[in-house]
Amino acid sequence: MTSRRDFLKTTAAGGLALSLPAGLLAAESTPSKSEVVVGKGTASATIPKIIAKLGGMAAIFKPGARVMIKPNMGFPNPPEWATTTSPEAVYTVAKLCLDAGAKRVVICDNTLHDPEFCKQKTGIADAVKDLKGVVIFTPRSDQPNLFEEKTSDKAKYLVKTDVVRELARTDALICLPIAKSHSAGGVSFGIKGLMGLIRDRGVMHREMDLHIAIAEQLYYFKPVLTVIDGSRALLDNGPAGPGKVVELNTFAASIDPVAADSYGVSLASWFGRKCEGKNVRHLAHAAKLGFGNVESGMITEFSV
Amino acid sequence: MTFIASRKIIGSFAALAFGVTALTIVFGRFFCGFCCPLGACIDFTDHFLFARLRTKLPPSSHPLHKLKFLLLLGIAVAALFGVIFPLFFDPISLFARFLTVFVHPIVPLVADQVKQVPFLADRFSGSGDIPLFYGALGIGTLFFLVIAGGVRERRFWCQYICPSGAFLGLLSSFAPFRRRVHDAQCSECGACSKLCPTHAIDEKGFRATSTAECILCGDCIGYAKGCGGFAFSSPGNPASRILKPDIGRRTTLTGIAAGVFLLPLLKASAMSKRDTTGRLIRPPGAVPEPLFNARCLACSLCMKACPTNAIQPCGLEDGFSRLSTPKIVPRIGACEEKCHLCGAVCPTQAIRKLPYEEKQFAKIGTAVVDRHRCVAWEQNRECLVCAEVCPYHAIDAKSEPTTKGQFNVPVVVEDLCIGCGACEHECPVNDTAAIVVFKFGENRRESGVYASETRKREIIERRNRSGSDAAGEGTESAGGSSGQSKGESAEGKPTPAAPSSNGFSF
Repeated sequence: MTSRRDFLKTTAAGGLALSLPAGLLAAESTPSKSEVVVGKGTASATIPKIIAKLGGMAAIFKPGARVMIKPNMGFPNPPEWATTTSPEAVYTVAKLCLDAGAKRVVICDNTLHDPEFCKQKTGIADAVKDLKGVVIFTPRSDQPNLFEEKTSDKAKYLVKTDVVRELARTDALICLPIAKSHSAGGVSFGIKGLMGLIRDRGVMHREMDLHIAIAEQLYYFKPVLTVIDGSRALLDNGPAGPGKVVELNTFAASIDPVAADSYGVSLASWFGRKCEGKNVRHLAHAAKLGFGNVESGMITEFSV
Repeated sequence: MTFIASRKIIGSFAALAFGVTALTIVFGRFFCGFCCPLGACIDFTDHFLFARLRTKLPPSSHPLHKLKFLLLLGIAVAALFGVIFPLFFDPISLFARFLTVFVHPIVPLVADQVKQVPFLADRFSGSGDIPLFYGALGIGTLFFLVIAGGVRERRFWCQYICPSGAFLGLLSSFAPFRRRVHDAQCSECGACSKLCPTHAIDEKGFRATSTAECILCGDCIGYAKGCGGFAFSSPGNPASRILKPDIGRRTTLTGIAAGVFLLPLLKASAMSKRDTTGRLIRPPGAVPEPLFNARCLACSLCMKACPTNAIQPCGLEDGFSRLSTPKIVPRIGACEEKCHLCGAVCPTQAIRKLPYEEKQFAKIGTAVVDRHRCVAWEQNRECLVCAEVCPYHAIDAKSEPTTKGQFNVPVVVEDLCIGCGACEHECPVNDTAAIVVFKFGENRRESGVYASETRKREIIERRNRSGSDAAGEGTESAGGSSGQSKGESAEGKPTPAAPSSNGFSF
């Protein structure tokens, strides 16, 4: 027999479910499963294998394409701090792109600190200096000429933003984030990392709901591949460190930016708390907007 | 002058200065004719521009020669009182300043445009800030005036104004190496006297030379071959007489008086009694302020070296005597953590050359959060950009009660903060930032270390602390007590240094 309390509970839950916004329905219309390929080992050995499992770079872009890689390189910290993408991972992905016939690989980030220091201290400049066809491009917020304004009708907060001009010439955008915690965003993976391609990030903190605005960046950027650099993870004090770092030696790749990030979240405990992709507000919102799958049930994992 | 003002001889700079001094005593003002970059620039513009503009003949008399001695004396007297004011008068720093403010930014500015051409963009992927400076108009006007003296006559600045030239001129009053006329070949045509850019040659007889004016340019001997030359000459040689510098008792007294009257202008501005804004942040390693004012040449080398464009010339708001000396304007750029180029290039060690291990303790100021402007404190918005960019781990993201409820907000840890201004630079609040660096707490030393070994160890340890360490909990403990979201917080418990983020919802 149903008690009145139970009845009220059920009704409330049902009502809540019905009142969920239409975005959830949109999520259902996306492919029901997003493949995330996961491998353990060194970057140079693992990343080529997981990309091959995804169908190789040939499935991502055509030969002759201009490819943009977005790593984390905004801090002049050594790779051991796990605040920036490991140089080995950047090298490996850039090399894969070149081998797949990319005409030009642009490693692009709007660095928080002085770009020259960031390029040197992260080791990324050294790692790719021998690769012909790879350039590191660091447009900064006070160089408005390097950005162009874009608008979106669908976004609630991020209705307009200046994105890096280089993007217009880019055929394929690859996110290559390090796994790290973030004081404001919770965690910082590929989608949060897209903030390195826009000019005015301040306005997202100042006038918008940050988490929704982060998700709404996907109206402007269409990453065709996300490779999570889980060689190390910064568990707290992110994004700048220094904080607690663990060596995971795990790499994950997916063509679904939300699924890839969501898998990254499950790799470790952030700020001392275990959580899943759906617990990260900006990821949950990105899924709600239909940019990918956040529920771990939809994620297929391979191991190389 | 710097030595007088700072009452100290400064290493390598001194070696150079004394070297030039010794050579000048023997050879005269060779520096002005052959080394001075400003002199070269004046000659260059003269050759291509002013020589064609000048219609009048150069004046035959030169009573204004004494002006530079006057200035020299005035500045020397001011230096005795610990004030150095090379801003308008030192030719090297005048020229260096012009290069920094006007020439240095040209390449980045052009590159910025070039980068927009798709074809060229890849070839110019170089980055970095475009260096632009406050006070460019004033600095440019000053330089323009110096050069524009050429409209009247050649080497106008060097003859009449340059106090460095005056100093070297006095030193070379009895220079043994000087112009000598070869009596047999001299036809007394007077061409040498007319050609002399500094009016150093006697207009009657043409044998005598004012060694205090002569810059050894050699224009006088190039006219007709063999009538004259430069050689070591004895003091009494009639073919190589010396004209005394144009400086008498009256000039000396006037110069000293001028120096005394300059003092109120330069030193006794109210700013030197008390700084009311607290925004005069000197670069890290700057020696204590009075000594800094005595040493700094305002040569702008530090401004040019600064990769983030943070170092800017002081304007009038910092006192007249500090014009064009360096200060850090965090809103323009932050002092980069792993950089100490300003100290490495400073010629007078007004900014000390510090290794990185020491620089991280040379505190230049302290950040202060304006809670009424901060979007986290006042509007409960997700921000914490200041904590994010702080290279010294001096801003804690703490869960604190705000006017609108419990929220993750930035809190400055004053003794870890070094005043680099990364927070102020990146603060998303427009115009005046919500976190501002003031100079209080600055740690400036003339020599020695900035903190004891014990203190340094403690600071480094705390800068490298992890949030979990501070909260005293394991890494894998699911549902760690510090995790909180949406305003629910552990009331009464000491707040951990780095709590969880508002980015989660459970």
